[in-house]
Amino acid sequence: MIVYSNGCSHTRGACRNRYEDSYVYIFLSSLVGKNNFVSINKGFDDIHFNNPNLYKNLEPNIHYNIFDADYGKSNDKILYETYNQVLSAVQEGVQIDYAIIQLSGVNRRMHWDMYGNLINVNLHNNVELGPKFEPTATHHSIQQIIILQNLFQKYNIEYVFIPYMEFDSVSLSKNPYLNMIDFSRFTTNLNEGHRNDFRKKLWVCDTHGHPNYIANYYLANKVLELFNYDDCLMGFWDYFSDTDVAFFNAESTFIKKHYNKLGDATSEIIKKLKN
Amino acid sequence: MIIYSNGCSHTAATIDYDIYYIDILAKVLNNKPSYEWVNPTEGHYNTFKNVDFNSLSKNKNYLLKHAEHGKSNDLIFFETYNMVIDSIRCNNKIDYAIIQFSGVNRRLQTIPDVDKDVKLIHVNPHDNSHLGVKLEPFASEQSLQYLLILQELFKTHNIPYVFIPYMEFDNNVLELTDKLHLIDTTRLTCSLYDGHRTDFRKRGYCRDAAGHPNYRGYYELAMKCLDILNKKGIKPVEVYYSKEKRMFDDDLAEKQDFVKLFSKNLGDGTSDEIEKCKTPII
Repeated sequence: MIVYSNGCSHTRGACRNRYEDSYVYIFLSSLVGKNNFVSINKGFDDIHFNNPNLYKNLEPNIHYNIFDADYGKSNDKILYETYNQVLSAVQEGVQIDYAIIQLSGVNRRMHWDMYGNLINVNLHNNVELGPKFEPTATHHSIQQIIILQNLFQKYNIEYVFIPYMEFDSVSLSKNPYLNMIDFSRFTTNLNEGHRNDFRKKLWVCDTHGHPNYIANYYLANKVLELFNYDDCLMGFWDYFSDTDVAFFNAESTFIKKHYNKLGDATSEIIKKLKN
Repeated sequence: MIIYSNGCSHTAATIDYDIYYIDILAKVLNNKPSYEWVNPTEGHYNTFKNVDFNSLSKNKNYLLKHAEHGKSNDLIFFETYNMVIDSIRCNNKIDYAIIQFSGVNRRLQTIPDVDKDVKLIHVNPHDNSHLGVKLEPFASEQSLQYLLILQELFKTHNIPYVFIPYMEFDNNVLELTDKLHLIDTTRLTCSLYDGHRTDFRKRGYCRDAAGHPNYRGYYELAMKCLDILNKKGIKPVEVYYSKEKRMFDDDLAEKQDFVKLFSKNLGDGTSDEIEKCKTPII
């Protein structure tokens, strides 16, 4: 089995900077057993084609977790990489079985440094380069969803979209293409996203709304359900140990109080809310 | 019939010409002598303010000229994709698509705007370059991806299409990429390695250092597109361009020794590049 995933820090296991905390790992562990798969994490970005096609030397009887999620990523980059990865697999005659795509903040974009390396522009990093503004930001992301949806459907790849952050509701209401999207493949609706709901429930480890163990466990279950594996989720304590789990953090009251105002939780927003 | 065209200044209307390659194409492709042309205005990001596919009559011929000066492949891709799916959504499918690709280093940036919420600005070597143009290898790689996605879109919906790579792509990137063979080169008017720009400069088929086509360039592009679409019926060049226009363009081309000599080095024809070409090598 080959699982391909992409997303930003909200998929990366950001709370402890630990891949294994991610719902993608819980999903795979539930299906094929904990530690019974090989993970390929690209990590920091390369200049695309300098890397050999990673689907070239995959072993037939091994389960693979091709995990591209990383900190700060934009939907631009998620589309760009995912599209290339799918084509790379097709070129090698390799079938990706499941694609799990976590959509990031729509205002993020990618840029490049003087050496041609891709860098992220978002409200936390390189913001001086200019993030995307509404309504274009949302409309770009909608187009990216349609492109990926059509790609997965063409190559018979089972897929799930996780809109972790809420989309701009005004821009969404004006987008004429929403009815071209198969929302049965989404873990939640675009208007709400998961982030604020998780903040409200305190299923987050920080003001940014990064999912904690419970949220990752919840997302793994959501993904399993969408792939029709209703009863496959492994036990919480079979996956996490009691030393892993820390449910609360010092900011929990603040997060709960301002769950729907925190947005990307930049220092400016936090300062504003605290004042 | 609906013909859709997009591109940058190398396709867009100017004050110097009444007829461009896309108009010649429209005259040949249309089954009726007249056609209505529409310049889709900004607004592509939500509703097309002046193009409603539901209201386009199926008994009339339309030429949608979406090309605009300074456009990037980012915007050409975004608009084209939206236009195609909008036409399908409205059950009034585009019949032909002619897409001219622009310089791969150009990009699109959004900035806040008091009146329109957001303003789309072009970032290219001529305009807003301080905001940072795309760098290689990413620039060519992303444009290749755009080609692939649009190719897929046109093929899926059985829309005959032509791609015009007016500017050459970065040859080193093309050598290294593993995606080039996925592109259907039979739909390209020329090789991605060469583009038209340098060749037109060399042959006097353009009217300035930036490589904008003159009547000869437009006519050649029209011929190449029709050839790919397997359509006959193009008339001699004299039918489309007056004697005065042809003489003016030919005279100008005669005088442009500099453009011919530095056809390969002029790049986007910015003032810096022109200056560099003019500076003698010591």
